[in-house]
Amino acid sequence: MAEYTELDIIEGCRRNNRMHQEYLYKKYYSLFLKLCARYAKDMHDAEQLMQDGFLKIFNHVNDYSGKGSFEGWMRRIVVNTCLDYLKSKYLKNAMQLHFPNEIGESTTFSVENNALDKIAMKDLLGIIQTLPPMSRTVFNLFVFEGYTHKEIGVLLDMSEGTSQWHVNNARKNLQQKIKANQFTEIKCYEQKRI
Amino acid sequence: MSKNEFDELLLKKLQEEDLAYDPEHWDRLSQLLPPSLAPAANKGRKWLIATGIAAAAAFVLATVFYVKLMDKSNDAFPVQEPSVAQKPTETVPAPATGTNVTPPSVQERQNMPVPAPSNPAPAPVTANNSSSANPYTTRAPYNPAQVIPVPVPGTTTREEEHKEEKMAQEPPREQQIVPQSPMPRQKESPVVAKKEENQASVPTYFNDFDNDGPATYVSGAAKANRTSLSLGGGVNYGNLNTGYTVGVSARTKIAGNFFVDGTVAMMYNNNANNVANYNGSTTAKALARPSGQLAASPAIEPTQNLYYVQVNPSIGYQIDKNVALSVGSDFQQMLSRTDGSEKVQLAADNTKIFPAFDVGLTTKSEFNITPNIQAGLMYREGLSNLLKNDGNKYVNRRYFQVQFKYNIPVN
Repeated sequence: MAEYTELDIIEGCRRNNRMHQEYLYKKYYSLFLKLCARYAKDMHDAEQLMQDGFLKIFNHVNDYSGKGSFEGWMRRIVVNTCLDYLKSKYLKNAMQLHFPNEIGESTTFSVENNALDKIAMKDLLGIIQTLPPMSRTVFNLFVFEGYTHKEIGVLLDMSEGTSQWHVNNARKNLQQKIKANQFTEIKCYEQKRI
Repeated sequence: MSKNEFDELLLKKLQEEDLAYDPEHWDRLSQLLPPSLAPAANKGRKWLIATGIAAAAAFVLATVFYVKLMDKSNDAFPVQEPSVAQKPTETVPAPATGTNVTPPSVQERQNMPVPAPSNPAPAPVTANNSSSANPYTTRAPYNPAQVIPVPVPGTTTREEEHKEEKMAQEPPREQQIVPQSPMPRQKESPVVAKKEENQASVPTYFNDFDNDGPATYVSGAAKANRTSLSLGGGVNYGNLNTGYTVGVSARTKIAGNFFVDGTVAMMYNNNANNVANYNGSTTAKALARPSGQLAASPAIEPTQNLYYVQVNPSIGYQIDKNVALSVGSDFQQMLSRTDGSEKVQLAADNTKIFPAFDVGLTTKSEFNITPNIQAGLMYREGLSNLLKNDGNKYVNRRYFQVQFKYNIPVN
């Protein structure tokens, strides 16, 4: 595949050049599919979210002003696509849950280095997909997207404490499932729902 | 609360490897994207190609005109017999005593007045010299290789000729003779010979003085008839473009080995296979449905046989007597269907249209099997997508054509 500079790609996408669009798609395919897989409940949904994300990128590439990195701009679009989907489908009811006893509690967990080393990346993605939708979303926004609890609170209409709780909850769940995965093989990619 | 070590390990783990790329995802996405609007990069590239073609055509035309101009300028300076062949109009004064002169040629000597016997000096050089001019600059080429009859003792003219011949054996000491006539001497002093070699850039007409003499060297092609008509036909081989052609051509030599050729032909494109292979897929799937009912016929109604009328002007170069190369443009108008909707469906998401008016480029090599029969191989590349800039929706009518022609010389 021919090499293009980022400027070439942006200009090409603005001109609806298929070649440049495909180049961009291939270049960020893995990154954004992994991103969407962290938010989706399975790989089928993840692929759909990724397609929607790229569609928005190509349709709105003229809105990119050049401020900040292009990858960051695309990433925000894909994350927002995931959030819109989750909000519409899974997060409506979850937002109404209250956790009065655990708000503000900070829990430290033991780090299972060996367990993480042994698990495959795809399996880890599968484990993340099994997390409760809200906890998964908040955990992704906090750990992978770098949002603060305050920003997450504004984004998902929740308090900072609730955001913290969800992050802790997700960590706890992940650690338990990673431990369990040492003995059980999780085949996430074979469980695509039709 | 900030990220802890577990979060960092998760981040690192997810970055370890990439997910495998699935091209089907792109295929699906590309169908959802708005059609490509011939982006400027492609437009720029296409303009570059078009400019290159125009520049090449202009270069060829300029070369043709230059060659033609050279022909005309050569005609303005026809090769003449040596000036010595012109009969002298006046008596040339004898050169001063002691002057080293080059003896005249035989012809010149015959035309010169015979000097008085008491005059020991050789006869004057040429009739064209004036007294003030250098008498040797207009000297006609001297050919000492010619047999000079031995003068009979007592005969004035012969004795003088003999003396002059002896003197002619000596190379010129003072002056170098520069022949005015373009006809080179066969034997010359080394200096003059070098000058002739340096003048090799003079038109090649004059290089072949061994056989035909000046201004008679002509290439084999140029010796051929200047204009000819031919009847011919060919078979086309190309993806989606298999068929036959029959037509008439006219060729005329323009300058040197260059010629122009024009062809008008009828072309038949066998679309039946394309219909069966591509357009018929929808119908085939419909028939396979469990209901067994034939679905509504597809919107595409492909024509089995496509007919085009073709005009193919070209310019060529005769490499040698039997081989010629040419390039040209090609214009084809569809006759079987004029609404521009003749389609072929190459894949479920890839439909192309046969252009009603198609423009292309051709390149051809021809070989004379016999003086009247010619075989040729032509390649045609369609330019409709390039020129019409409509999203590559047209079938690129590219094909090879094997052709045979029968030539009828006109003049």
